[in-house]
Amino acid sequence: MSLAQPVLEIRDVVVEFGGLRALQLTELEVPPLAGVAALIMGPNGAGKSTLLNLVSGYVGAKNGATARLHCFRNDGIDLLRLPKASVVRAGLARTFQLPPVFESITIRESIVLAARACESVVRCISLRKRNERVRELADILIKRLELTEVADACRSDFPLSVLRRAELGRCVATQPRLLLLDEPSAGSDADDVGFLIGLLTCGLPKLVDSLHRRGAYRFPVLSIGVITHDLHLAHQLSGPMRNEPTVYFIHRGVCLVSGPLRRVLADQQVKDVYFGVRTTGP
Amino acid sequence: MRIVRPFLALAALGVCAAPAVFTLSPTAWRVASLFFLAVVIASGLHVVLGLTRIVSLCHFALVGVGAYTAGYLSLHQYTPTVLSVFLGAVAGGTVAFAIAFLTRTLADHYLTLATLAANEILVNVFRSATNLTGGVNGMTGVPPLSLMGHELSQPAMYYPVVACAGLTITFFVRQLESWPLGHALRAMGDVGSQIASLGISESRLRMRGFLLGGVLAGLAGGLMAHIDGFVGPESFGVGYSVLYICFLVLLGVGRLRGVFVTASVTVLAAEALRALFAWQMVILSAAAIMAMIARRAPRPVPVLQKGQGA
Repeated sequence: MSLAQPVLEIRDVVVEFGGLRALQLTELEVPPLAGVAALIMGPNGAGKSTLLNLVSGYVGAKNGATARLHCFRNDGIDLLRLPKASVVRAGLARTFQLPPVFESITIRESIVLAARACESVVRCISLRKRNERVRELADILIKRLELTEVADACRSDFPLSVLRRAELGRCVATQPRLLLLDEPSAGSDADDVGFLIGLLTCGLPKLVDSLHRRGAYRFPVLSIGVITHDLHLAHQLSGPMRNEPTVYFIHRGVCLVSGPLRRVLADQQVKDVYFGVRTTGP
Repeated sequence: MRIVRPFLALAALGVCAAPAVFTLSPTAWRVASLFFLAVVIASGLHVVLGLTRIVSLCHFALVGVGAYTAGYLSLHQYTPTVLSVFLGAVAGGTVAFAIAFLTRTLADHYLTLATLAANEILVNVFRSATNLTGGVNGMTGVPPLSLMGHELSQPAMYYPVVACAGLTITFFVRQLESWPLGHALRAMGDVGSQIASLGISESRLRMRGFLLGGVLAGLAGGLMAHIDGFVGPESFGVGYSVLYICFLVLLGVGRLRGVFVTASVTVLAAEALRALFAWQMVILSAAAIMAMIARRAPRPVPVLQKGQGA
């Protein structure tokens, strides 16, 4: 894969639910940046989560659509032809708006499960080596995500922040090339959002880089796509001294405008839709 | 140590009960054997219902598959009884896997209805395939278990074999819960199709769960055929599956102790109500309903602390 080639390439996508067109995109690309590479923004019901459900195999698209994931292979993998679990194993992990609650197993066990499912025995040479590597990865993630105190508890009433961090840990344990987060700041307080921003912009890319150098991560780079309607989060993720992620603004299933955040927010259509005001020119 | 504790407790109970060998009546030995047989059946159901939270109504039909396979092989093919029991388990697992494969795209009520249909199909096959199963009259004259040339025809003789099978299966299931496969089955029970977000295929995992449950059901069926010497289609109706599910849910679904309590209640109640054979299922079902009402809201999703598993 050349450096210029996008990590995810979506073309000619149409998703309908009982005749209602929920999504219609001709082109959407996630650049191959380390850290936050794309922001998908838009008001409620715009089709952002439908897009995420589409590429992760939870909904189907009409014929002719493609969503290619380029994981350092020449031609890429069309995710729309894969079942859900295979999408994850191919290198695309996702979170949910409401994180799944594993009540019967501990957070550590769930992270180990995810790591084991996506770690090849062949790559590790032996089963024992794989088990060691999987446990080591889980320990590193638990420590980095500050889950040490709750990692071995088996409960259903963890706070949302713990559930979100545990879900993030499971996603990274699958060693994805692209991580898509669905409204990661919803229901979180300022401290949690601060922790999340630090993690997405600096913590995870560095962690993946160090893991890859030790041979414990499949890909040298982790790109992150964030679906959000939180402007504060969007500003923080594309602030100065950081990679400039590509922002896609979706409304009623159609991408209205794309580009750097500043340009997108300056667009008249976006102002009309997002802020509900029409500013008059001089 | 945490893993083997229930196993050790049961083994200790068995050792304590050993001196009673010469005092118990054949009926008591038979009831004790049936208890361990019920433990094997309920263990299979525990894997499917307790771990993966799938309501399978074809569990007793899978017991029937194991029973008919073992009975047919011993009676008509003169296969050694131990081998025929093993092949009965294989047959149970194979049929369970086939059912899981065919229903891999179904979920929730549709899946439960599919297992109900599978049960009816299998029971009708038992009734109709007269050449193989003896039809509605059943298969009579199945030889008793034999080990190293010794026929275990008396209850006190086959009890150790059945008890060993029950304890071994319990130990296996307890171990399974601490293995990655057990964690994955439990995780699927918790989050359903979202298990795919971990890179684990839900349908493949479900097939594995069904396969394990089917093997245990088939094993129990094989043992049952050789203990009773008779296999009839009426023993594998959907009512028995429903009864076991009711008691498992009421007495602790997802916990191994529920398996033992379910086995105790069903076997002891069946023996106590033997005189009222025609009303047996009615009374047991009414008891299950009353217990549900009394408990109001059974907790299908217990909140466990580590180490409180069984």
